[in-house]
Amino acid sequence: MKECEFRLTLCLLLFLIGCGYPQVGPATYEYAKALYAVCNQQDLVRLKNCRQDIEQLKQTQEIADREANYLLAIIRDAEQGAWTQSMEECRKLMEDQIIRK
Amino acid sequence: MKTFRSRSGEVLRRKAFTLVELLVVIAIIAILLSLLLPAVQQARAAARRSSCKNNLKQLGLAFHNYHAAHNTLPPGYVAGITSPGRDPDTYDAAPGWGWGTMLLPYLERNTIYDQIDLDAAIWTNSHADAIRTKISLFLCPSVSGGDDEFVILDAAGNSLVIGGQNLTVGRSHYVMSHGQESCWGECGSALTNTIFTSIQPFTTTVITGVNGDVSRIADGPFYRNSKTRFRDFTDGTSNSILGGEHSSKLSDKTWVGVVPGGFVHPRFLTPENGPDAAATLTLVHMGPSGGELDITGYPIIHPVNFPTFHVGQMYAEHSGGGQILMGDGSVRFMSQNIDLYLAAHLSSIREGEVIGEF
Repeated sequence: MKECEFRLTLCLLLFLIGCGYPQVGPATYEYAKALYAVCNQQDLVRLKNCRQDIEQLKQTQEIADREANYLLAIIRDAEQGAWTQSMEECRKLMEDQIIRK
Repeated sequence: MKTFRSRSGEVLRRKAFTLVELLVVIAIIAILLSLLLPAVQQARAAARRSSCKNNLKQLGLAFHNYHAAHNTLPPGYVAGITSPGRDPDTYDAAPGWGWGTMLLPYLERNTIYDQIDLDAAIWTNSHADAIRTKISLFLCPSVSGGDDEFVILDAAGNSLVIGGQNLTVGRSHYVMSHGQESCWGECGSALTNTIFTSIQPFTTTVITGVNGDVSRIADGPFYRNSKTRFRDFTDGTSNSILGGEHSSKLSDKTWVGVVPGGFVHPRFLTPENGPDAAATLTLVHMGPSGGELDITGYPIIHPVNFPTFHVGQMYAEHSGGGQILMGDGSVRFMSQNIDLYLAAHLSSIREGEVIGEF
């Protein structure tokens, strides 16, 4: 197998098993940061506000559907009481935006 | 071991392993190694973490010995803010020596300290050798970003030219705490800064005409020209952070001090981090700081390993968090998932917050 084919297969595999978040827009990043703090504080009121904001931004296409769905999935987990898991997902989303120089 | 029978009927024993036997042995060795290697790696990481913690503990003892001798903690760094050569934006100026330099006699590094004239600027030629010294006590073995000397950079990321030359300084993997608030890049005369007087509930106050007097903003133990005493820790020394770790994997820090015009650049980029002013060569803050609000209007608090990865925050390479040095000289492990408000409370020394367990 040629090297490029091997790399393509590896990328496809990683994509299929869901390793990491792709690059997201500034608003998504900002909401991930805010959600990290919300989940850290287990603040249901702020969580509800974040959900409303994100759903509205999704409707107006200020946040792409796919990115909004990432955030809404995190919010869903938090609403079900998985605060730590949600916080870790926010961390992961933010860490996956690192660009190595 | 396989047996054969010769033509004469004699039983022969072959002195070799069969392929299956070999494969079984290799498989057993592989299984044993796969069990052993992670344990060895963990033991090595634990040893490095222990050494890293011990260094921080030594720094704590040195701070207490310094305080015993001077009746104050060493300044975050020293700058003649009224001198004509000051940086117009930050008011950083000569001499620039930081807390690490001040501690040298208390870390049994007198030979280096004796080569330094504290009244002269860091970038004076006669200091060139002393300031690039690698001091193991300032280096955490867990860090993967390097422990060699480095050249101080300017805002654009080029080598800073000061006193007609570039400046190479020794590295530190430890940084001291400015508190919740920061005041470095913008701490000149015209600054009007909104600072948080409380984060629960959120209340702020506006500070005008700072004129480089960082003591009006900082709420931690170390800042420019600080002279903090243990009696100033009204939250209690065991409830207040002196400092912690900052891995060179994220950015360069030094034990030497702060050079006007210098900038600290992150080694990797996030959508939010970027170069920060020279004070972050030796100091970090925990947040919230005036103007640092998230998209929902709440203040940003960034404890160790917070994923925005600012150069002005603590950052450690231990699994799950980093070591912090408390005012009483103890060293604690701060989880990266610590309650954000608790982290902020721990970083200020006199705001009267109730501190929970961590």
